Amino acid sequence: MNILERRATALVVGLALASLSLAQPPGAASSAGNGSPPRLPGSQAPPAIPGYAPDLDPRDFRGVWRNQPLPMPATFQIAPPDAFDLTAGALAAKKTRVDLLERMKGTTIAIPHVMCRPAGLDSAIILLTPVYILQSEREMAFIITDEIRDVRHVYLNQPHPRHLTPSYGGDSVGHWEGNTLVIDTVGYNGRGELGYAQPRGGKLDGTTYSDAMHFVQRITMSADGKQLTVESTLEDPKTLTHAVTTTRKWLWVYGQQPLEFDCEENPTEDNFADMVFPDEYMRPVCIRYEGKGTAPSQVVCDAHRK
Amino acid sequence: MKQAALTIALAAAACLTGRASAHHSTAEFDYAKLYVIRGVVKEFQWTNPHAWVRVLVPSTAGEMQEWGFELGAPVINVRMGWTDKSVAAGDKVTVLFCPSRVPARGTLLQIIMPDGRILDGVAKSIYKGGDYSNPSKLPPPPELIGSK
Amino acid sequence: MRGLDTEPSGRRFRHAAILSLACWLLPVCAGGAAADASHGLDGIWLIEKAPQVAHTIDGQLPPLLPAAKARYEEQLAARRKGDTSFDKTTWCAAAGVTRLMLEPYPFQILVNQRQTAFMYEWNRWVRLIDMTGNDLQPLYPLNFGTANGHFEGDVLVIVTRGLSKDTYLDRSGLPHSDRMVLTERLKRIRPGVIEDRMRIEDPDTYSAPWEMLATYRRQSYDRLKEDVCLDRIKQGRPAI
Repeated sequence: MNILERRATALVVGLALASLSLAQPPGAASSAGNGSPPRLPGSQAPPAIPGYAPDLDPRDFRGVWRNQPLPMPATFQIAPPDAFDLTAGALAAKKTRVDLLERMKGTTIAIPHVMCRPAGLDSAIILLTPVYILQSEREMAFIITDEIRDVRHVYLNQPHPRHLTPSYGGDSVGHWEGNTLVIDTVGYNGRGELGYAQPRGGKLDGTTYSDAMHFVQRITMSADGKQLTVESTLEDPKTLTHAVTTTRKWLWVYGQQPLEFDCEENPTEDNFADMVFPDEYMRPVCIRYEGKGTAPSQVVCDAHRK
Repeated sequence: MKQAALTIALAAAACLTGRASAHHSTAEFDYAKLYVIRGVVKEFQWTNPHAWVRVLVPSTAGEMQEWGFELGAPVINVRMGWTDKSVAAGDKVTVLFCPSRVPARGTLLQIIMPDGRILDGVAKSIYKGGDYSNPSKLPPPPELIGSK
Repeated sequence: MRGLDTEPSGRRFRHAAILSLACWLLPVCAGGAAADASHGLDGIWLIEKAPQVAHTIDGQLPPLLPAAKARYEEQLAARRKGDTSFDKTTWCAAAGVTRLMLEPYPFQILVNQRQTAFMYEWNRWVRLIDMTGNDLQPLYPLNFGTANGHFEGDVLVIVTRGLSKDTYLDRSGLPHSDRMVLTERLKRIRPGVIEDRMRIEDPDTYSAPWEMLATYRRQSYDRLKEDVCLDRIKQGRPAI
């Protein structure tokens, strides 16, 4: 064999061995036991699923990850409010919303996540509930099934499509720089909010970002596979005078049974009773009217109802 | 002692994730006040984003009022011992609650079932008022007639 | 490979041997869907023929028990009058598993070692199937229930329990109880086509277990659209 043949052989055999090692048969993990319903002991998470152990391949993010807890209100924020320098236009828009809140004396402002819209950029940074990361050669999928339900597809090693339909979640493409996954997201629809904080007493913590938002995220796994360092950079010339970078940690979860958040399930009138709607698109079409006295509740869908 | 410390640590961790108030502001409720009502369950809505217990309560004038008590999302309630079958229409219940700014609404602190079972609501961890070990000593809500 | 014909036979033999060894070790060389860990299931799929009413494999209406049949027919009559107050998909709440497998909306399958995801375009729902073999038990009824899956050869077998009774099996409103057990067998049946054989066991609703079959065609695009049901109904379009 000449040297090229030897190298080709080594490569082929090496690849084969690598692919064999990645495949674990189902049931290889030890079983939970007798199949009786698991108890929920009062922590935030259902019991761990046996057999989950961190992967040490730095380019394998597959698994379940949770927010590293932060003191309130930081847990709900992308960054402290004073990190964001708003443009004149954004400040004016924020003032309009605050004025509306004070004028209407509402305590809840209708913002996307409260109105069951995808939380886009917020879901990509702040994990209210764990994220399940699945991946293939072509994409990495960030799936949140519990509150606030979200799917983020990161398409690997390809450019953004030339024609993008604006969306709440934008279009995400990713590539590796060493062992750091760099995700680039554009194509937002201008309906996003920066952070989940809710206004209290008229002081508005959250503000919106525009369709010009360019969001870059750099994610790196720790050597022990138990932590992802998530560095997020937000650039939005229509909203922010300068880019903002913030870093969080996502922590490995030893398996968690997926739960579910059907946000639209119960559009009871009580959800909207104390609510202010700065944006008409969020005013609900379907409302459950509870019915006076013994009259049954009923969902009425009427787009024209004022 | 160690078990209690673990439980407190877990509860503290739960509070730090701030889950209960992620959906909307809790400023709607007055957590310094606590009222009690007794009535018959009209409907139990085991739903997202909030579960609700709807109770028919006779007013002092004899009129049947519908009161609504908000709970957390099912995934939160389940950790406090609730299931989708915990409450059923027709159950005679006692409800301790912190009132909302919205008439005839509140956030449930505790519900006492006909068989004496007690279930807690998310308000329990936020309530700022006094002792409620004897519900019979708690006041009923000021009577609400008509809309806001 | 043109060059091989002109090479000395010894070298050709070595090349062939190396390639054969590679193809034996690396399943991708076998070509086609069975080559990858998903056994050809990964990709975006669209149902070939979306039924208005689900039928059994032998073309019959499912064997509803009398009480369930009466309720079903009441609701059919109500639908004809425009009343869909019993169907929460009308206000963009979740649809059930089999319903979403029968609706003309694309979905994406992504098979991983610990989970398999079914990502539905409709209102961005995702069903996660646990593949770890731990037989997860339902904590409480969910729209998508609690699903455990594994491969038997090239067939993905999924058993789902704890399915909330507030969903329907199909567009017409075929009911089910929360004691239903749904068993699915998914496999590639020919290039670009997979099938899902769905078995319903629900003695509270049906007099016997029954099966339905649907086939799905691979789509040429690689991105699902972001579908926001609430925005669609705001524009006056139907929820589903």
